[in-house]
Amino acid sequence: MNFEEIESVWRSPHNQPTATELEQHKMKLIADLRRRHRASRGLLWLTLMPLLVITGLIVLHALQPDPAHTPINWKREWAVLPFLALPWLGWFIMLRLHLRHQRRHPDYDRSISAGLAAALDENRTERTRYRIIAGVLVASIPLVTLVVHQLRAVGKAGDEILLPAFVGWPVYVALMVGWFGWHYFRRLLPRRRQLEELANAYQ
Amino acid sequence: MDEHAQKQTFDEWVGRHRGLIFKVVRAYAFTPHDQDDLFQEIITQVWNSIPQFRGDSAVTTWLYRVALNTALAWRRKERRNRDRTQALDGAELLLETPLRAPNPQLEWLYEQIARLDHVDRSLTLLMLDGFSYREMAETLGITESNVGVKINRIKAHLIKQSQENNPYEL
Repeated sequence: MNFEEIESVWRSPHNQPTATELEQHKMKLIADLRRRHRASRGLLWLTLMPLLVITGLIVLHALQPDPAHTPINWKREWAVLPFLALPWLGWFIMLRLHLRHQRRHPDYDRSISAGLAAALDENRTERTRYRIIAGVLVASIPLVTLVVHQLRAVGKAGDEILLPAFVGWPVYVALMVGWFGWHYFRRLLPRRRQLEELANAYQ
Repeated sequence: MDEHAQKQTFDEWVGRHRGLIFKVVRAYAFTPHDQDDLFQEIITQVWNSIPQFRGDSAVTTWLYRVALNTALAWRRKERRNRDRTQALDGAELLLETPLRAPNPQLEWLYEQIARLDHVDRSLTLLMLDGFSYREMAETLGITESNVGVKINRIKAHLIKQSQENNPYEL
């Protein structure tokens, strides 16, 4: 082939994508976004269930105390309230983020640009979600200390609670925060930095 | 620029210049999964960069610059990922055959382009799409004389390769 022939091959209709191909990419982007939306909803439901059960049990115990156990003395056992409120606060913030994202992008499947704007917003929401979960877990450690102290002071717990409260729970928190941190710093932040660097290069 | 204007600009540019994006994708990614991945990276980058577009250059030149830089960054990232997960061998290019419409000449041309380094690969795409030496130099950050030397070398290389393994017989 001479160079003119090479150029004509390059400019042939075979080298032009069809609207269908663009549509296929759009559908993949939207399918990925739908998967992320499902995961976000799943996380909300998964965290809501244990929260409801635990809160329900505490409310039940407060309203109808078991005669076999000492009723809750709120003046001396108040720490359980912030300990319970903390995950609820995190849950409601995550719910608000989820609903705000849905409100902002109701028509995310209309076009590639709409899908892309929604995907970027979902990425930001995911980063915030990670920070909230990690924050709630870390903030729970001093509250556990307070709860344990109060339970021991009213005689509802003995030394057996020390190991799970001061070793088991902090280890669990450390593992969870470590996993979130790894994901956040190794995957989400480098991606953001890479995008920023590229964006700066075009300025 | 508000999001509505950004969306309008994006839809118009991607719709009108989708051929350019697909060509860069095909020149850098060789499996359907990688092509989807790179396509998304490029359009994400185009989306993020639209507010910074000042109109100093033509939209096609600017889009090529965004697409080529993104493809290079994507390629580096992919290579690092692959290095971590599997050993590369010399047969990588042979295994990575383009998967689009069966046009032997075009497939052969993409295969030749894929064998070039980043600068030569980018230059080949720009040259075949009819960009001027000045535009190519601006897009890739090299001098016009350097562009001229490289273009002559690439043309000679492509012609020689086509004579050695005649693509019309493929």
